[in-house]
Amino acid sequence: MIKLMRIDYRLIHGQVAMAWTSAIGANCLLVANDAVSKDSMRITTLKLARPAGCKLVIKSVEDSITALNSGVTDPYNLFIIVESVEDAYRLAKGYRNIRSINFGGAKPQKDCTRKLSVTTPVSECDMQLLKELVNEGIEIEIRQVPGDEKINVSKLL
Amino acid sequence: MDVGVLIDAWLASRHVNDRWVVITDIFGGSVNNEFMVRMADGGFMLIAGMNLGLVIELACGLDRLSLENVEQSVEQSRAGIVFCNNLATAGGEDEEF
Repeated sequence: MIKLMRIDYRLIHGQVAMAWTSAIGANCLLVANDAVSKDSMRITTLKLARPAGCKLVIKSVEDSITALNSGVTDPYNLFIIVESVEDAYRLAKGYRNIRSINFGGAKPQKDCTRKLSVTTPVSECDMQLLKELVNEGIEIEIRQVPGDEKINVSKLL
Repeated sequence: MDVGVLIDAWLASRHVNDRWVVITDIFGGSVNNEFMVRMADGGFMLIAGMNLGLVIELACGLDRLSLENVEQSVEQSRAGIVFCNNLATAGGEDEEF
């Protein structure tokens, strides 16, 4: 089952590896990212950051959707990580069982017009995508670490 | 500034129910030496050779600071000192579902 889906532009890093994986009881990490899945150097780096006792699978967003829909991921306590609102949107549209998305961190870009929180700047386009997901009943909550209080994005849009 | 004086002041100011883990920069350094001579009566845990991984590990487990757990964290933190240049060639199999 999916334990958590997280948007974090830094993918697997200290906080994610240590705090989140154990807090949610994940035994498998799926990094759904087009660029990384084609880049052997980044794949190697990610493999090194893999939390102990946790399987790491790296796939493009499309391949991730296919795998999720096929049921092969069902036996795992799965932690899905994507790097952007856009990738989260694509995944949630392709695999309809995503009911909740944790928004942890976004890369500051020039076209970001708003900061939903300190670590989550968003562009107009991101806002549209988030609105659509919220309207479909998907919970989108901002939290850096598991112990933080959830900030519900629907209240900020 | 006399480190021993500073440490004695800290020892005297502690709340009786507080438990302390002290992490110093380097084993054999003057600061660690001053803590060591006060360790038996001081009732604190002392670790020399601070590194960030160790600090994070301990900080995330403040409710589990037994002698055993702290010793285990110290042991595990040794794995955090990595010469990265050799790693890139390590590779390994790509995992699948």
